Amino acid sequence: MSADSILDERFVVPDHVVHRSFAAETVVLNLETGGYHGLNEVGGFMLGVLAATGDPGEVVRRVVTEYGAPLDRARTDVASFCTDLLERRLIERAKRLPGR
Amino acid sequence: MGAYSAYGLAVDTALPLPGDWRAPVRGQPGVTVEPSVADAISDAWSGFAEPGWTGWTEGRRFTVEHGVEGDARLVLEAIAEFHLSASGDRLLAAAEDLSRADVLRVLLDSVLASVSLRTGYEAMHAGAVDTPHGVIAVAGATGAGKSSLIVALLGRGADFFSDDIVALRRCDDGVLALPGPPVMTVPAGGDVPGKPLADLGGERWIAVQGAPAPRPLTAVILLCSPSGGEGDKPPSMLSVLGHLLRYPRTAERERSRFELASDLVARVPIIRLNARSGTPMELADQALRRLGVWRTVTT
Repeated sequence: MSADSILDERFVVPDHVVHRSFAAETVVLNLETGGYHGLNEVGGFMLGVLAATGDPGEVVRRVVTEYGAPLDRARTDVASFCTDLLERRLIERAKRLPGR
Repeated sequence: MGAYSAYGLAVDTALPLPGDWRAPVRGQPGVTVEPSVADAISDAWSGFAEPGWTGWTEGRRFTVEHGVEGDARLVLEAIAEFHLSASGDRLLAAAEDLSRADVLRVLLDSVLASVSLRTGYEAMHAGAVDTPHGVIAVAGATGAGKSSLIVALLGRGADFFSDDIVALRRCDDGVLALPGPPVMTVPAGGDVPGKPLADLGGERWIAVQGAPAPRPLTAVILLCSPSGGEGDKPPSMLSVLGHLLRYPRTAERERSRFELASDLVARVPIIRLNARSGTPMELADQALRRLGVWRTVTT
């Protein structure tokens, strides 16, 4: 899957995933697998924006604004981040409504 | 029947339990521990449904299994067997000699702690002392020196609170710690802060004075070795989660455990101590200074 295609998708954090952010880390628990996952400050920021908007493109924009990252680098990083979260079942593709 | 409090449970039993127990705390969920025999436990057991947890204690395998009707069987391989009713309020205990020190130790440690966890409390693999500020828990890997540090903290004026396992529950003000049984396992040799009960597996099991009541958890010391890969990293929620006992492993309990750990990290000071950076007494002094309780505890 290319970076462009995953950045065009929409995601949700499912009910079986809980997360809590602290100053330097975000910890995520997948209740289905019992697995804990640690994210650094930037990872926690990206997850927070993704959970709130479901839009990886918005995460890219916010990473560029907040951290001054070059756009290409931010796109690559966010795409990789979303792929990783998907593989760990920490996010799911949002269901599209009929006709959309 | 004797009445005791351990890990948030009111324990009634005809078995004489070692240690200097305080009066039981009112309002706690109760469990009656009844001396029994293996045949009675077989009759009470509803049949294997799923594994609970397995560990090693007293140099033997300790296994908890869940029954099809919600009961539990707890077995110390070839030594003792226990059965917890589905309602969680009746524990049958069978062994060739229930007064043997290793049987009593597994009852007061792994068995009652498992009952407490099934009742709904969470627990940290840690020893703990009480101070005027609240309870300080000492967590660390097996062999890291938790017991030696606890003994040193007692030597600096803290009071015993729990050995090896600290039962916890969330409360409005943070996290509440619940006293453990008034017994401790300490390294053999040297002065001990209590009455020796038995030498078990190269360690000394001693009776101490129990803590009177639940108290706020006020600090956590993570005892680590320099080769443990954690170095000078600041303590994290993941490092705290690593010391919480993950039983039972239902989604509901995993969530409540996660929430308790979140509260703990947000509200309770956590410090990391290098276990090799001094003698136990030096580590105790270092911890008390860093936690700002030095003056209160030592005077």
